[in-house]
Amino acid sequence: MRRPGRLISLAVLAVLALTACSTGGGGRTPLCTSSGDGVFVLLAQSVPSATRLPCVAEFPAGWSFGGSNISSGLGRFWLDSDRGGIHAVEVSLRRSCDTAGAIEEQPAPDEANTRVFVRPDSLNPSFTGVRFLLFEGGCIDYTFNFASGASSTLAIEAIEALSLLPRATIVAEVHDATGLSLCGAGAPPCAG
Amino acid sequence: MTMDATRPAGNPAQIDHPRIPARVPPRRRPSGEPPPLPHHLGRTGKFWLIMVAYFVITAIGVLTFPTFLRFFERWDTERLRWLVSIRTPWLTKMALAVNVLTTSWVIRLLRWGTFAALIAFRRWRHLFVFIGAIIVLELLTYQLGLGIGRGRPLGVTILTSWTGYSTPSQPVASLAITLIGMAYTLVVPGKHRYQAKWAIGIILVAVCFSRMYLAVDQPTAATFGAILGVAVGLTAFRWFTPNDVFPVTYRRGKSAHLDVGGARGEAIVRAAKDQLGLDVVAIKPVGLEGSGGSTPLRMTVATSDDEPDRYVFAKLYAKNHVRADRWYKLGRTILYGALEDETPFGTVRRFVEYEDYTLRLMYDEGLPAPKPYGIVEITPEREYMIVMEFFDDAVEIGDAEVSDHVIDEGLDLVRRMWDIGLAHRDVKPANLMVQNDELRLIDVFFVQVRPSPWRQAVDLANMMMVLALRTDAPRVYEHALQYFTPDEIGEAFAATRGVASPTQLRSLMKQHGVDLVAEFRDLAPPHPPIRIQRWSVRRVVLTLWVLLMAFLAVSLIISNWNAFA
Repeated sequence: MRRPGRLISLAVLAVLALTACSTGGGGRTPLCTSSGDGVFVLLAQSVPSATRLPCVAEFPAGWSFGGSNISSGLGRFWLDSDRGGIHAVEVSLRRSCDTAGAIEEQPAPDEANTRVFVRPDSLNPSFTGVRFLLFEGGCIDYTFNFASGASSTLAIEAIEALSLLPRATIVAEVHDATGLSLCGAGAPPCAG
Repeated sequence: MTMDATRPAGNPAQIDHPRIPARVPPRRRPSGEPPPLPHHLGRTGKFWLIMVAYFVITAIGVLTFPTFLRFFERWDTERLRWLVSIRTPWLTKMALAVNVLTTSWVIRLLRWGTFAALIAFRRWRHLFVFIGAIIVLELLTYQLGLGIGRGRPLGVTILTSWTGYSTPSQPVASLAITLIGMAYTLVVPGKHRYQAKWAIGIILVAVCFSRMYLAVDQPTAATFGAILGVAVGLTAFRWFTPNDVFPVTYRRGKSAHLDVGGARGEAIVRAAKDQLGLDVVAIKPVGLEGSGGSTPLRMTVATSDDEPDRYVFAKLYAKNHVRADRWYKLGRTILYGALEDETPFGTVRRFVEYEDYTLRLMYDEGLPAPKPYGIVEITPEREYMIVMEFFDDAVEIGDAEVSDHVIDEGLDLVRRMWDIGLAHRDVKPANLMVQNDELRLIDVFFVQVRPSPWRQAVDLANMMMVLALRTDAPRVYEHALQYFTPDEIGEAFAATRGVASPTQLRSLMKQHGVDLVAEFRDLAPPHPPIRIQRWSVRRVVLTLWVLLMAFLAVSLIISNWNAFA
């Protein structure tokens, strides 16, 4: 008779290894339409002074959510692309950004009240560059790092996919859900 | 070849096996009555598992019903606000200092230190269980954190850095499983481990308090993390490295030996009385050095008022012995192919049933093996004991005077096994006893019926080498010619090399500094070497399977490397 315990252990090991199940990658997608999701609370807490939070408006064809890593002082998530490659765009929320060497350009309609800077780093053999969005209390940068041979026009797709969410929206959501204050910009002062 | 007329064949009637009468009638265990040694996870283990279940159910409730979330957030915030109200600069410094214990470099230092110690002590099973438990916990906390998706505390100012979702608290869980792992792999069970557990409890309470004080974790998140870390660690170590089967000890000895004191000792006495009617008054482990596959015991049995107490010999088998046998056979199959029957046993019951069968077979054939008294069930499907005759005043052949009579008996024993169609497969000094100038054969677990000619030849060579260790090769060879033809002896030493001889025999020959194989080969007629490598589809598939499993295990560790480095 086969031992089910041993088979189950082997199966779990195989599944875990083959699916590369690990403590990195994956995560909750910060969709602009799901402002009640816990990922926005965590993003807002990572940079409490930031009045805007990055989010994904919609995924263009071939794009998907790669993963996130949010900690105090830095909220990061990244998108993968079937043409641009894994980790094609990384979005980071920080207290401030170093825009040295970047050129200011007009913000897109959903980037109102921000200052936008771009710094293309290289075009060949692969496109790399950074787009900075500066606003009151924080900064968001989109770092493009496309696979070799991928068109730089993919950056336009990525910029269209990404958007901003006012922190005030999350503050209100949290207050409605718990009656508590999400410490930081747009919220009453917190204890301690 | 007809040698029966000339050789001094043994006579079954010559062996005087003592009779151990059942002092009390056996008693059938009624339905529903627990076995002599019930298997249980332990009260604390159950407690921690219940706590984990409670938290998981609560988490599901929070995710399903928003009212729950509101309740928990408010409850947590009230506690944190109270802690914030007692904040002072020195208390904050102290909390930050305690919180250093949860930093990744401290946890990695503790983990790698433990790994190094386990490698140094060659405690491989504990090492693998520890690594496995860490991976499972890291995946569990990560996935639970994502699933619950709870942010950091609300309504209070956070005083230190953090990473990721709050519930369960990953740093607290990591520290908890690391400390539990250290206690269960490095600290000897008993008073010291008890003290270690208290120390862990105090450390975790201090760490949870400091993280709540710093408002980096909610009370429920920190508690959940601590409970999860402890529960995963406890369950893993209690399940896969139970103290009584894999004891943490700094004494020399083999880990296969079970502790026969305490609850197990009482269970053995009760079980022997109920199942065999034997009134055991003392249990003493014996011959541990020569036995790695079981726990050998000498038990003193009360007979009747006008007779002195008698000894019986018993071998205690547990699941780890079955696993060890399975790994041993797997290793042999990969290294050498199927030299002989390498089919592993499925259960401890089958294991002990087979030894009982071989004992009875040897006994029925009149070979000088112990008389079997029966099997005793200690814990169903987990632990069994086989009871047999104890050879009073017998000494291991390595320490005995080996006379011409003993040499003849050893050679005759092999001849008779050849004639019957048996092979002992573990002929070594630890399994040959001399009792009043009579040779006795013990440990018949490896006996095989209708073995390969190769294995029979190896039995002969091993027997001749054991006998020559206490005498000399020419003398043994001269005696052997009475039982075997020169060609058979030549074949035996052509078949014997390396793995064919038991480890104890090989190491004794090394100690004595004699190359007995070469000496016997010089004495016997030349025989072409018999190859011991056997190639088959099964061997190739097994090797590939083991490599695949090793690759998957390494992949899992690499994909979770951030938990270790």
